[in-house]
Amino acid sequence: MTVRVNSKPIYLDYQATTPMDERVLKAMTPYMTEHFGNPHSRNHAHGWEAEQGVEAARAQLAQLIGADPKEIIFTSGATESNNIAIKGVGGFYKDRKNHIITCVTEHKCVLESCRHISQEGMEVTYLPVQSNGLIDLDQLKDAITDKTCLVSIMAVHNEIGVIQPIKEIGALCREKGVFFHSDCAQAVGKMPLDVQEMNIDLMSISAHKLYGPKGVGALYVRRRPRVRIKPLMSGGGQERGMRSGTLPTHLCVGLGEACRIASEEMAQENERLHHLRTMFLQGLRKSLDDIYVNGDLEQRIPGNINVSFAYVEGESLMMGINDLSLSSGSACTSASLEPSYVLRALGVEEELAHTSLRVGFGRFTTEDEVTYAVDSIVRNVQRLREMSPLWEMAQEGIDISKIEWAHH
Amino acid sequence: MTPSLYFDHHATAPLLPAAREALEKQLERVGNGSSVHEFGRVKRRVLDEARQSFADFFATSPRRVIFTSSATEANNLALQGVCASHLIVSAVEHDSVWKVAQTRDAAVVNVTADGLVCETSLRRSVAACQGKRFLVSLMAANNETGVMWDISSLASSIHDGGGWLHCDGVQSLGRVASRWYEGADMVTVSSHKIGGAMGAGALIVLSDDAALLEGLRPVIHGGGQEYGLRAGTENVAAIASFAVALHHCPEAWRQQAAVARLRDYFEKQLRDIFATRLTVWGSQSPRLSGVSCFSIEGWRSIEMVMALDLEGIAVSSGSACSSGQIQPSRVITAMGGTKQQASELLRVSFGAEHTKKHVDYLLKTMKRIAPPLALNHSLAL
Repeated sequence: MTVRVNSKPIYLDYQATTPMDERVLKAMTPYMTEHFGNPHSRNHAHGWEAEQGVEAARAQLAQLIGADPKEIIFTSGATESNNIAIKGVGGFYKDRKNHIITCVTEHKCVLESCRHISQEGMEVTYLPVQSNGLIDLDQLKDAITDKTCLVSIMAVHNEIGVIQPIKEIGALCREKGVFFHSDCAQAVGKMPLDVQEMNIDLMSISAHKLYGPKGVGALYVRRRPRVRIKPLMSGGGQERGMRSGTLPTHLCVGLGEACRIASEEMAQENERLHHLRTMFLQGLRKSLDDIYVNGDLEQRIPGNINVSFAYVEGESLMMGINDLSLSSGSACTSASLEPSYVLRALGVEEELAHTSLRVGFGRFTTEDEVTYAVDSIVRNVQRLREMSPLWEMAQEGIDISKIEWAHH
Repeated sequence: MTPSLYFDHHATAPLLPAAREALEKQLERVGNGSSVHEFGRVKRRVLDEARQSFADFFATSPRRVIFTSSATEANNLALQGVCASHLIVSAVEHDSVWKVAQTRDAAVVNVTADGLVCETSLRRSVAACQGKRFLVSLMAANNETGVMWDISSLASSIHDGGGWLHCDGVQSLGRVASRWYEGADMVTVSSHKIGGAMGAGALIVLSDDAALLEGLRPVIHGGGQEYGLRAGTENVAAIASFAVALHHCPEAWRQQAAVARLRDYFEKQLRDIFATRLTVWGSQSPRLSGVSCFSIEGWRSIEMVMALDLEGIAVSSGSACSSGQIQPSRVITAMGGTKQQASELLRVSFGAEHTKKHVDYLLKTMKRIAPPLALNHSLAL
């Protein structure tokens, strides 16, 4: 098959990061050369040119999420945005309202930020998820008290791709007078988002999940009603005092262009990705039994699927399919072989969590690549199952969960 | 009109061609440095190599090189993250140190009229922290005046008092060939000031005292990147270009003598033109070779930079600030300058690409557009 160029693996890890779109790089290039000025140099043309690039990007980003450009602050990435949102809101309001609600399957940086502020006296409620990966709105409603200042729930999950009921959460928060932050790193450009319609007060955005460059992201911060935050970093007072530090002009411009492209092509792209994912899943199911999709299949972005293969050893499977670049968990933690905390939160058994694959499709994934991937996975799962005594027993009709294993 | 002459290298330096090449190469390459597969491993390798370059340069281990998104972030990490109960900073530190210091009730060390650390003031502050765990933050070279401090001798008095020294080396890296950071326990450096891409900085821990690194806490929490001290997907492209710019340092050092000659020529001519109206800040002290920072009586910063910009010349009124308004320089008032002088500040910074012809053009233009003193005074009245 001629799918693999120069024997490079096929890239199916679009939730870890995305290749940069050539058009994005093209937009950035002038800001690495002739428009090299410091965008905060307010008193000469080099500075203004850089500033114009940054401001145009701000407008492009604002447009994609229905915000006002004045409500966008650029950051170094979604991790920083999430840190600013949680610690910043918590830090500012904690004397009056000292309670934050989030969810057990949030990204590490949200959970770590929450842990950090809980050490400083905030109370944090971690909502569980249902087996489909979605939170229960009634549980959220019950968790909100008059001490709650912030609810932080991500829009699209980085491992299982499920879409939380953002609009309903936003409406609930607004009704209760609680700020709503959403980590939208995996959602921006992948699904329509509107901060007004969804009542989102703070939104974290990442460029490199959106065919833009690494090292830049943004935080949407609502102005009416105004959300106040305690800045994470102090300094020159850039970004309306909320985030100090020289803005990397070319990276901001790249994020803006990535947003522009997404707003024009998202609908069409999603249709194509949906087709690829259907192809992938049908291909697996045609040849393999005992495979399980983790997370809700309907409430999900089309570019993600997360599947577990029973009777296969996870590590062996990953090694067998080393011609495919994909993850067996969140990229941040996948270097460790611990089963994903996310899948465990869904109630997936440890064995199945270990054999899960996160497959991410994106703008540059082709049908041929999907066919190749299906073939590779099917071949390896079949090979490993043939070697597995568990698989043999299962084929003979023995219920493995009922076996009492001898302890050595 | 299109700008033709850029004299603002201390705000940001043009990207070096080799650094740009490294930047573009990494931008075109997909991969998350934390992913296990090959695309991720390639990114990890580039990152590791860059980290090693900094470790080699500062003669320390890669484990002690923490990449951040900017020097501002590195300064925040040093001052917010340090395990110390007391902070001491100088009066002329960059805002990213100064503003953090204000939130932490830091003691302030004065500077002399020449822009040097007032050693009595430092000794007094250090003595007041006796028996406590404290951090002093002093910059190696000032971002406005370019005045350089003898970090190694300042370090010994701080160490004698039992404290740690953090050194903001943003303006020194790539300009000063000597080991200006010697004695400091932590150093902040920035990519875009040395010809690397914007979007990368680093905090480098040099201390022999293991308690400093062990006690350091992150400002940004999350996925545990940068040894748990700075979460977030690494900006490998900017970091790679930063390392390339670092390798370029020896060549940049060689260019400094010529740059210094240009600066000295500029100041001499300037004195001929403006005579007693001119005050050059820090001229009696060791200074970075490429910067000239001065006030011309009766010519306000804002008017100077605007007028020069119309002539296609980019200069600065001090540090690149964010408010959109030019504030009187805190550095100049700390050196004993009047409020008026602080609002008449101009910073001209030269680079290797400049020649005497460029400087002559700048001088000629300044001479032509400068308002006469008397007229300006009567306007002010």
